Amino acid sequence: MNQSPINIDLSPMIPELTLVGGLLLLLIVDLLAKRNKGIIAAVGGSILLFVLMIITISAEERVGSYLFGTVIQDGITVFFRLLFCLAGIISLGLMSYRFKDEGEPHLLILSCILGMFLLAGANDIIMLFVAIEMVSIPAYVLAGYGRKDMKSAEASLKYVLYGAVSSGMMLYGFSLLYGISGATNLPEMAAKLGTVSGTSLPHVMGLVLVFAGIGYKIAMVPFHFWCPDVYEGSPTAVTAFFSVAPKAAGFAALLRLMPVYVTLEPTYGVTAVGMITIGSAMTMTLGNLGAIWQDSVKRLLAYSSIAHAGYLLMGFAVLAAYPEGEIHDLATAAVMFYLVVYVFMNLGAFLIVDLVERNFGGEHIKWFRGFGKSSPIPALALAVFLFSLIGLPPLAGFIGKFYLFSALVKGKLFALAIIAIANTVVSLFYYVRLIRDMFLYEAEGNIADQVAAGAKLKTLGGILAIVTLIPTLVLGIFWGQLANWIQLKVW
Amino acid sequence: MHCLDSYLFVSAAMFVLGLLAVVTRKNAVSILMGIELMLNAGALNFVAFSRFSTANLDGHVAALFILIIAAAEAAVALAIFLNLYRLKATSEVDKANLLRG
Repeated sequence: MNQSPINIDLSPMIPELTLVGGLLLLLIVDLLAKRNKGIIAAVGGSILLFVLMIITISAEERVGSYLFGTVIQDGITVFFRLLFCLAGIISLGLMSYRFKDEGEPHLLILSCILGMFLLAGANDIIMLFVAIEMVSIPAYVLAGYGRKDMKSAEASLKYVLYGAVSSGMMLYGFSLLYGISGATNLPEMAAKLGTVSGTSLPHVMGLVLVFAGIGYKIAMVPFHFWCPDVYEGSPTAVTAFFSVAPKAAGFAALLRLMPVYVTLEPTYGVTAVGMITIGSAMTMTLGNLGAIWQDSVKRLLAYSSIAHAGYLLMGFAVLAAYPEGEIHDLATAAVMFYLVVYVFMNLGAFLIVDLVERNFGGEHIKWFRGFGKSSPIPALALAVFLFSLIGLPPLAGFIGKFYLFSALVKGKLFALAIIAIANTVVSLFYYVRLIRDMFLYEAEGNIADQVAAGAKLKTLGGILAIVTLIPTLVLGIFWGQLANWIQLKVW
Repeated sequence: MHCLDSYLFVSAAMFVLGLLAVVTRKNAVSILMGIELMLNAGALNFVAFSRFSTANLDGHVAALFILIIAAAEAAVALAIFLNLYRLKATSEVDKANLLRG
C-alpha cells in the first residue's frame, strides 16, 4: 500500500458508482411516487442496467488491476457483468408482474447486482467476501417478500440461516489461507501457497471450508438442501432471479479462486480435481434423482438447477486438472457459454411457470395438465425451454453441453463425462413428464374449467418470452458468433 | 501468553462452539448467536495473523469489514425472524416445516 490515497484512480469503478447513484436516485423516486411504484422502479432499473451494459462495453479495453490490486478488469469481468445485467433486466420484467405497487423488491435486485458487479472483478479475498455478502444479504430479504405468505417467510428463514453459516465457514477458511500465505490478494496468495512445499493441514482445511462456502452459494451437493425449499417458498419471479444470477456469481467467484485451488498437493488425499469431480458427480446425480419425485414445478426446476450446477462444475474439474494452457481456456469458455445459455432457458422456463401461477393460483403439476390444449403458445414455449434444459439438439442447451463435454474429453476426464451422460438420460424422464402432462393429459376434476380458460402472454410477457426464446433457439444453430466472442474474452 | 498459538486456539474453539450451536439449537436467535461466533472466529484469526505472522495490515482491514458484514447480516436475520414470529408466533426453526420433500 505505497500509493498515497490522493492517487486513487476511481475510474475503473465507474460501473459500480453509476449503479450506486442510480440506485439512490430510484430510491428517492420510489419515495415520491404515489402509484405504480413497482413499475416505475422496474422501468428505471432496466434503463439503469442497460446504461451499465453500454458503460461496461465502452470500458472494455481498460484491462488491468486497480485499487491496490483488489479489483481486476479483464475479459471475464466484462463477460460476467454483461451477463448479470441481462439476467437482471429479464428478472425485473418478471418482477413487475408480481410487485406492481412496491418499489423495494426491484431495488433489492439492483443492489444484488451491485454485489455481483464487485464480485465479477474481485481479486482479493476481502473484496470477494464483501461482494459475496452483498449478493447474499439482499437475496435473503427478497426470498421473504411474499409478506403474508408463510412459505415465503420460511424460505427466507432457511436462506438466511444456511447462507450465514456458509459465510462463516468461508470466512474461517479465508482467514486460514491468509495466515499461511500472508497475502489477501488472490494471485499473490496463489503464488505464495505454490512455493510452500507439501500441503499443511490448515491449507487443506482452508480450501475445503472455502469450497463449502462457495458450494452453498451454487447449491452443490451436499450443501444443496436449502435450495429446493428456498426456491419453492420464494415468489416465483424472485426464484427465477435466484436460479440464475447468484448462481452465476458463485461460479464467477470460483473461477477467480481456481489458481488458489490448484496449489493443493495430495498430502492428505485431497486434491482440487478430486474435490470438484466428486462434488460435480454428486450434484448432478442427486439433483436429477431428486427432481423425479417432485409434483411442484418450482421444486422440480429447483432440483434441475442443482443438476445444472453439477454440469457446470464439470468444467471446473477440467480447470483444476489443467491450471493453464489451451485446455484451460477451452474449459473456461465452455463454462461461460453454458452460463449464457442457462440464463436464457432457465429464466424462460420460470417465466411460463410464473404465468401459470398468476393465472391459476398455483404451480403444482396438476395445473399444467391440459395446459397445452388451452394455451398452446406458452405451453410450446415451456416445452422448448425444457427440451433445451435436457440438452436436445437443435437447441442452445445442446451446444452448451456439447462444449462442456468436449472440454471434458480433451481433458481426459472420461469417468465424469460418462456420469454426466447417464444423468442427462435421467433428466429426460422428469422434463418429458412435465411436457407429456401439458400436451397429452386432460385437466382433472374441479380445476378443469379454470385450466380450459387458458392463460395468455400479454405484452410484457410476450416480449420477455421472445427475448428468452430467440437465444434458446438461435444459439442452437448459430452459436459460432457467441463462442468466438467468449473465446476473445478468455484469451 | 502473547503468541500466535493461543489466539488461534481461542478462535478455533469459537468456531467449533459456534458450529455446535448452529447444529444443536432449535431457536433461531440462538442459531444466529452461533453464526456470530463463527464470523468473529474468522475475524480474530485475521487480526492474530496480521499481528504475529505477516507484516501487513490487511488482516486488520479484513476484521473491520467482517464487523460491518456481520452487523448487516444480523439486522436482516432478525427482521426475517420477526416476520416469521408475526406469522406463526414462534422463533423455533422446527416449527417452520411447510416446505419439504
